[in-house]
Amino acid sequence: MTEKPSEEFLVMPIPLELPFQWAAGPYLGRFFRELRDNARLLANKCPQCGRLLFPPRQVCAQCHVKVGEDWVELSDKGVVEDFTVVVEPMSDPSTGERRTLPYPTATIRLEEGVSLIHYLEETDSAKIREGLKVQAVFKPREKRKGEMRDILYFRIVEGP
Amino acid sequence: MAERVAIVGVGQTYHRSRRPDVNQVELMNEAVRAALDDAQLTLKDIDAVVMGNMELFEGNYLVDMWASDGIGSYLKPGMKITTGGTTGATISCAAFTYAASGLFNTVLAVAFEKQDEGDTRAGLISVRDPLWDRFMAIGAVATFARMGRSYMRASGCQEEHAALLRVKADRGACRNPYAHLKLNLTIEDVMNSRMLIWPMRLLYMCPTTVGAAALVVASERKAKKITKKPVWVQDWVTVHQQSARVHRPGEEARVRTIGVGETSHERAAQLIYKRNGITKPIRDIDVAEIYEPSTWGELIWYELYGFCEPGEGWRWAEKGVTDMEGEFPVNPSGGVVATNPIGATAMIRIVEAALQVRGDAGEHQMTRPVRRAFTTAWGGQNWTVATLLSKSI
Repeated sequence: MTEKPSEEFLVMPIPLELPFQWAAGPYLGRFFRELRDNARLLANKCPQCGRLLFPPRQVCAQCHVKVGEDWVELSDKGVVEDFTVVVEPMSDPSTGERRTLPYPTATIRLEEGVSLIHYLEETDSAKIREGLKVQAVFKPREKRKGEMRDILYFRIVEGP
Repeated sequence: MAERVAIVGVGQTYHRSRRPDVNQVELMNEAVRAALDDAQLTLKDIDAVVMGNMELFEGNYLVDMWASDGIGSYLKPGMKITTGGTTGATISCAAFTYAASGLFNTVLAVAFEKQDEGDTRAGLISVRDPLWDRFMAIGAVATFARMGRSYMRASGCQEEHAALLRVKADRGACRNPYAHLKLNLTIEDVMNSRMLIWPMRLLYMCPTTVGAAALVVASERKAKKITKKPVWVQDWVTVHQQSARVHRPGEEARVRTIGVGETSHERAAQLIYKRNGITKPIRDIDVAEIYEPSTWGELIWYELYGFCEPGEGWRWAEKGVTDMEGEFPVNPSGGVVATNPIGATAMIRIVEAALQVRGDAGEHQMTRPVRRAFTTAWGGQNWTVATLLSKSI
């Protein structure tokens, strides 16, 4: 059992900054090149079970086989599977920048059946529902860098 | 397995939001002393030491470099383990495996977290894939909020059902001398607590806790000499699921937990049930200590662990099935939503389950005899550790 502190306990502030750089590898690398150069989303297909792997990758975790170069272009349209509107102050962990509140995040199922998590353009939670049809809005070519944020957000195109 | 294994000593610290009166190593030492006292052993009796925490929450990436004086590992074999929310369970399983191997007779397992010394959320979001979804990382609050939302939509669950379970957890915590949050809550208190992100209120989310836990584990031959009340480790299992969500036809029909897909919870529970002849958990298990960082997780995971049928979790909450006096008590200790020193949390599940099997849990001891206890833990959003403890072998 700890006693209520009766003496001065010192606490040392240790600010820490650690920059990193990560290689995307050939499969995710190709995905990001297509996103940057042509605003297209790609998946690759497992030769054994036939499912689409998104993000694209070298090996199917279920079949343990090399996935290879069977590339499939995905639609930029999908539906909102679930969402939440974030109201807590939070920083973007990649940049340290404070996000503008409130912002909606959603799981979006693309027409081909694969899902991703991304932002919605609409910030009013009363106007967002599961099942809404949405479409990706990409940054203009000169601003795209080959990263997931090249997709600005998903825009509602049709209600359920 | 070469040797049967038993837990012969358990210990934990009193859990708090802040502990400026001790450093990390001194905190670990409190739990180590408690476990050794409980086993009536000294460090001379310990053959190996396994330890760990979620190192990125404190920002020291080789904590075992500092820890040997606090945990007694000087000139002894052992290793450090970091596996997210499962850290304390993985450390325990490593100690079980050491003792079962025949290489070590008596093994000390130590787990801790000092969350007042770092930024847990910054640590948490850094576990997300830096190239795919880290920029979207929203931390545990929003993740569990989305799980709750999806579950309500799929099952007909109302917020009241989560509130019932939160009050159940608090009743346990108020009886548990070691618990962190003891709030004497009513349903109204819970449902009036601050809304973070619908349907996640402040009280449905675990606190950030400082604390440590320790176990002394022994092989069968040794265990019987150390204690009259060994808690037998009947089985332990770790299951991983694949690393990202991919297309699977028919997936839409299932109760969805965000980022999980085919869940390691389901597979781990089914595997351990099958290996141990458990066909009906509500009949074959006397108490469960599960890892529920949020009440919304607890509701959903009753179903994924196969305690009840899919869609029935909230009905269990309504009927009080998992109350301490209910048919299938879950977390009589108050659980994770009351006490979450992350690296130690999953070991506390095992400590509490062992106390229930021994009959030594004190005020939160179940009145019915406990022959068999089940524990779980969740690591990242991708793997599950489950254990089964037993009074007899």
